[in-house]
Amino acid sequence: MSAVESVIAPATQPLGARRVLLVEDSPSQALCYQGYLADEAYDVVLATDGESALQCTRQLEPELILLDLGLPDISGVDLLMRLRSDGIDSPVVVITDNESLAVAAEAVRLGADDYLAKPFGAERLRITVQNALERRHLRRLVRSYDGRVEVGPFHGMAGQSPRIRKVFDTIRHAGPTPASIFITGETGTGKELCARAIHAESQRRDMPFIALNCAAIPRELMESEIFGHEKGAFTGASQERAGAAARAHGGTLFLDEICDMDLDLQAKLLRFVQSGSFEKVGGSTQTVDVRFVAATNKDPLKEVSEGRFREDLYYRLHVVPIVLPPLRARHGDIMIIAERILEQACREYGKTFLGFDARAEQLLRERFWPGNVRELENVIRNAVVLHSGDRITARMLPSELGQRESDRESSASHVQQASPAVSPAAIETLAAVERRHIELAVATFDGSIGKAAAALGVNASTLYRKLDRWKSRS
Amino acid sequence: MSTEADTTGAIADIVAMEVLDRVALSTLARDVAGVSLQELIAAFVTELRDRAVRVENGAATGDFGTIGHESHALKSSAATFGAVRVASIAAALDAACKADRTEPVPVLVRALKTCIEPTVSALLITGDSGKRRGTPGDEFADRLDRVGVS
Repeated sequence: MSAVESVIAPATQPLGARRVLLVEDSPSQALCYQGYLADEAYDVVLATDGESALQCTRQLEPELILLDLGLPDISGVDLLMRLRSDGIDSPVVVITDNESLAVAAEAVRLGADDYLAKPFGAERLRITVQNALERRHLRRLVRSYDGRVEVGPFHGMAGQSPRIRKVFDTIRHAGPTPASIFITGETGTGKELCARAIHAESQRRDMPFIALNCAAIPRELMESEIFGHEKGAFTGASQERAGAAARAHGGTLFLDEICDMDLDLQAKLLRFVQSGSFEKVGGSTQTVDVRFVAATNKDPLKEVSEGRFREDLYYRLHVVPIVLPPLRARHGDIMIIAERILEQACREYGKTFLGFDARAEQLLRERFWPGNVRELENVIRNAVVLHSGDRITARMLPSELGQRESDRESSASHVQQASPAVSPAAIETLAAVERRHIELAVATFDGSIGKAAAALGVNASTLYRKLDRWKSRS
Repeated sequence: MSTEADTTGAIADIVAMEVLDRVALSTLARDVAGVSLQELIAAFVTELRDRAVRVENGAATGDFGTIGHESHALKSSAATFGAVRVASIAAALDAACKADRTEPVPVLVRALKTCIEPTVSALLITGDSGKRRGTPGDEFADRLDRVGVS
């Protein structure tokens, strides 16, 4: 008998017979096992030593490997390890005797799916083979399902990098629970989209999702925004108004930029988070059923340690943390997101772009993206609005996209070369440069904070917060 | 620590066994399908004789690795075919080699040699007697007759 041979002529097998590789050096045992499986739709191929088993596996890609551990040329455990290190993921059922069960257990630890202790009968072999093939089928099914979920957008969040998949998993698991969720991430990473995904995964998905930006609303109006007010509660309160808390009843209240909330209001929010009850401005106590999702682009623990964010509120809200990775850390996601934005923008603006050319793609991939997904969206929408064609080219992208990287390099070298000639007094602080640049942007867009923020690649709330701070200082 | 007397006693117990387990044979006959029974029996008999020779050669040259490998393989295949006496001697050889105990090996190898041909004969005869007595070996006996092994 040759080292590799089919013990059943393939022509006798029904169409779709599943190929099983039997690695067994005992001719009589091999014939028995083949006879045990003869009534099943299997194409059993025999290899009588380890080397031929390896060769056979690479050539035939069997759906299952029945591996006797006592081979003449290589130990079955070593063969199993070679199969796994070669990337062969066919299920392996090891065959051993009753005295070697410890070896079988070791083989299972090293990647075998199951074991058979000799002597065993036909029924045991058939069931073990069926189970192993069923598990293989299910594994593939799960893998294909996972692939679909990861490639397609998850409640509007696109990407398949390991870090964003971890975020999706957390949302899937935590979404249906009542636990408060605390999202952190740089500006433009999609914190509100993430909060909406949590709401969509929860039992509250048919109830309201109310988002409140704690940085964008002036401090004196914030309490009324959250808790509402009675008619005449303060000057200008000509009508009773329900706040975000009441409007979110039964649903989700998303508190964005939570670390920017006034400390006094944080105390009131804490009571609300603890009890579900709050007082309208100038009015009565109300109780609502709300799920809290909070977010910040700051380091919340640093805010706590520096006294700007209440520790007790932090621990009330920080039950399930979600960290949204910056776009530059999501290798492989940039073009997935870019294609999706392009498709959306084309639909909205009636354009026919099908994709990006190689140079444009390279520019998008190499950019640092300090403004994250929002900045990427602005860049692509800008190109779509201003141009037409089949492909977005590098020339259609905002000029600063290509220049910023080279500018960064050239300005760095310029600083290196010129620094000895610059007076120390001429060096501005970064804060001063930032303020001047923001004020220039706001002036350029005739005071439109939204447009300035879009051009700067930051959230409008960031600009509101900074402008408010500078105003109060001056 | 085993003594020669222990080994001799153990072998006496093994020799007192039936050569074949007829129930195991009839179970095998019932379970195996689609393979020529003639081929199946011939494969086992050939393997039995070949491995026994390799065990003998190993004993002659002091190659306990070969003795261990062959007796380990023989233990399993003999058990599958109901050759319980061969299976027991092979198991004792396998255990001795695994434990690096060389002293019982020559006695066990001789015991193995003496029970090979009786086992082969008994395998063939069992088919006939099972058929006559109406035991669970009937089907096996019928199939042995059909393929002309007996």
